[in-house]
Amino acid sequence: MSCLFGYCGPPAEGLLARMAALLAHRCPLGWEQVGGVTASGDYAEIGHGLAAWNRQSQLAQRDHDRLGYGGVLFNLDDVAMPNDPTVGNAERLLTALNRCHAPESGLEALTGAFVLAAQLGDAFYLLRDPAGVKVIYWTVHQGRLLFASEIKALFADRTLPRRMRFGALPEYLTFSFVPGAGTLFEGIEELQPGSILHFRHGQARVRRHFCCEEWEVETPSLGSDYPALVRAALEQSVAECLAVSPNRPPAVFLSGGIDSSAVLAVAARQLPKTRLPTFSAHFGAEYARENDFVQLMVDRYHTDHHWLEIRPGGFLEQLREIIWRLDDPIGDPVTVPNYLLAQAASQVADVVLNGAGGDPCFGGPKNIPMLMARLYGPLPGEPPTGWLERNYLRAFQRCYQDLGALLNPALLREAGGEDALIALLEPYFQAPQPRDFVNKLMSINIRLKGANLILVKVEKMSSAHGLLALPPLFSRRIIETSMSCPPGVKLTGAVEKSVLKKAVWDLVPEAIIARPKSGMMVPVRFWFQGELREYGQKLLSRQQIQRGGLFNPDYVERLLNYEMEGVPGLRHGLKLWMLMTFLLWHEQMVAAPIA
Amino acid sequence: MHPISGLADGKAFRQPTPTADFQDPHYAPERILIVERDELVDLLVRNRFHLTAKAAIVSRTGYPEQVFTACQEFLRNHPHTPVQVVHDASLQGFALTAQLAADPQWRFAGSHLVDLGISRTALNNGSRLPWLPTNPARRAGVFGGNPVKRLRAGYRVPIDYCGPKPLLNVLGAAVVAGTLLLAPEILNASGAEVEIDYG
Repeated sequence: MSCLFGYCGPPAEGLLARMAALLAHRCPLGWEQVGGVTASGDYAEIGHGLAAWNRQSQLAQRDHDRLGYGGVLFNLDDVAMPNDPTVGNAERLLTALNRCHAPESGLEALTGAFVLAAQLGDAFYLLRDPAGVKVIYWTVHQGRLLFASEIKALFADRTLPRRMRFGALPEYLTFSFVPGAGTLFEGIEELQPGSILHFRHGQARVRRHFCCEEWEVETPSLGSDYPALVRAALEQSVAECLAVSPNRPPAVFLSGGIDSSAVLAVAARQLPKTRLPTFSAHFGAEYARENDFVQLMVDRYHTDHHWLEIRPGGFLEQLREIIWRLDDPIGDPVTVPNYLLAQAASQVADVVLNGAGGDPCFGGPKNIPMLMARLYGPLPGEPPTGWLERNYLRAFQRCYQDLGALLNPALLREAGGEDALIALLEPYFQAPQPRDFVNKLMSINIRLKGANLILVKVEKMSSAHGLLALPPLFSRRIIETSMSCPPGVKLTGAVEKSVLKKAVWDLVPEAIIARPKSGMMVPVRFWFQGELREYGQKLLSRQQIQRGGLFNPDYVERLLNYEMEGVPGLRHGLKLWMLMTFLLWHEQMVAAPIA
Repeated sequence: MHPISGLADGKAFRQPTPTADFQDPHYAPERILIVERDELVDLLVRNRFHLTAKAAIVSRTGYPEQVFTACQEFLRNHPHTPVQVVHDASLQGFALTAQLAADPQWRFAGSHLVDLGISRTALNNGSRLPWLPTNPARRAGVFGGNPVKRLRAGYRVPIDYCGPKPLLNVLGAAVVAGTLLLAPEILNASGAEVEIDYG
């Protein structure tokens, strides 16, 4: 998929070209640029990588103003003048914003899957779409705002210090990603979904403009047909995604669960004469798989289906490259299937639809455990504050309970220990809105797990192959619709995503609707005892771990040996995967020269 | 006397929950688990079994009180919520499900009860079971022996005799399967890895 990059501030010769070089994998058809002096005398340059699905320019410039975006805008016609085929989208938008008294309002009205940069008057703006489908990182260095779709491109400015933020390591180990605006680098931030950055006179301030919690409805309104509302929103969302590539049908990733099945069903009905290419991953006959459920959808909608069998032998040689393209480490083993599926799909499509969003937006599998935790309150001996946050941290089932044994004690202390992790979640749990606890959990999951993990992971792994990944179930429209549904229609009794299931009951086989949530079970637990064992032992050897000084080599050895005692929550394979991802990331992004 | 602090004693949740507002809940747990003794609630909840099993855990005495009240609401609003009963292998334990069904306090759960406790049949699979007296003041425990005679003599095999970790593993599988899997697996338990993914 394309990318966006650039800077605003003192001129920097050759910086844009160096950024583009670091993002070459996102610019399969080259890149374009606009730039020049701004109204305030600064210099602003915006670069945009071209891919097969967006050959048309996404940059515009008029006088001292300029604008560029990466991704797709769904409601340009609502914001700009009616479409003139001779005028590009960026130009239409720039014209419309020039006419606005308050250009920020115009920017905030945009919806789609995009990141946008604009110099308007004496201010420079960065914007990320409301759901956070696309991602952008930024920093201010020597009075210059630097921004890019991947962190590595920021280091094209060779004077930018490349210092790891050690405080982020416990966050990564707890969540398998770095939540919120922080990254693993000091001074570099990820613009959060639905946020706008305003840069002027060397100062940046960020404001969140899309607040999903404000749409909260707690009690059902008489006569409302919530499943019909969700169905309509999903159909509109899918239609918007299909319009992106009208001449080449999109691929669809199928997992066998309700979310991707619902997306396929709606897309297939909207393109009745098209045989949609679909893609699924499995890990071999000896491991749990969803093939039967996938096949139900393939048969019902007559798709052109492609199975991918994923084994370590097939991706180990690419693993280093996959982590490089992940850019900000995500220790979820699903990244590899995501990468390989995107690689395969890019052979037949420019756009791929996926089912991301169903869980965070409609009440996924973490909610009932959290409701149970709330039912009992703090456990004996537990402090009276922070217990909900602690439960949420544990619910990720990553390394939260291992931090004391796994991390260098000095590093953990300096990072603020458990208190820092709780402090990170407190603003979400203590916010006055949403009031209902299920809605609160949904809002947290949409903003953290959704925008910092699920969407980023898919975006990075599909962009690596010039593919545009669109999640119809994770759009502004869907989030607003879901928050407008009372919590009882989303989590009805113990039935998760109840309203979504009702919305698509006639489109998706009952066997898929009725089955419990499974998730993609990547068999890392077995891989590290088999095909990945040698690789893991070499990468995570005592010598390597000691040299890095971040982790306790004894504990890592216990994980490698699959010792059951003293490893809370077990899950050795997942923990080893997280460590391996981090080390491969550190080696390429921190230890080795970048630019 | 050197008392050990932190033991599961059935008193951990006597205080009301700070967020106790469970009137008319739109949600319900995946299951309600009724255990025979209060201290089993403590043991299971302290080990966060309620989170992995997505279960509201209460004892037959209605402990903890706020959870018992919430369970009434859960079943009133969501009558299909399964109610599973876990008990010791004892004459009282075998009768527990029927007693609960007849108990006015538990009338709200009466028609949903499913017995998950150790069955009489399962007792025959274990040769060296630890038998404890139902009334601990009377006499010491013994190992092995004819199960029928032990039961008649007022002994019981406590469901947690194998220790917390195997119990949690086996119970985790049992509540999901909704069927009695306890005794043989407990006897052979060696800390097998049971993962329930809720993340």
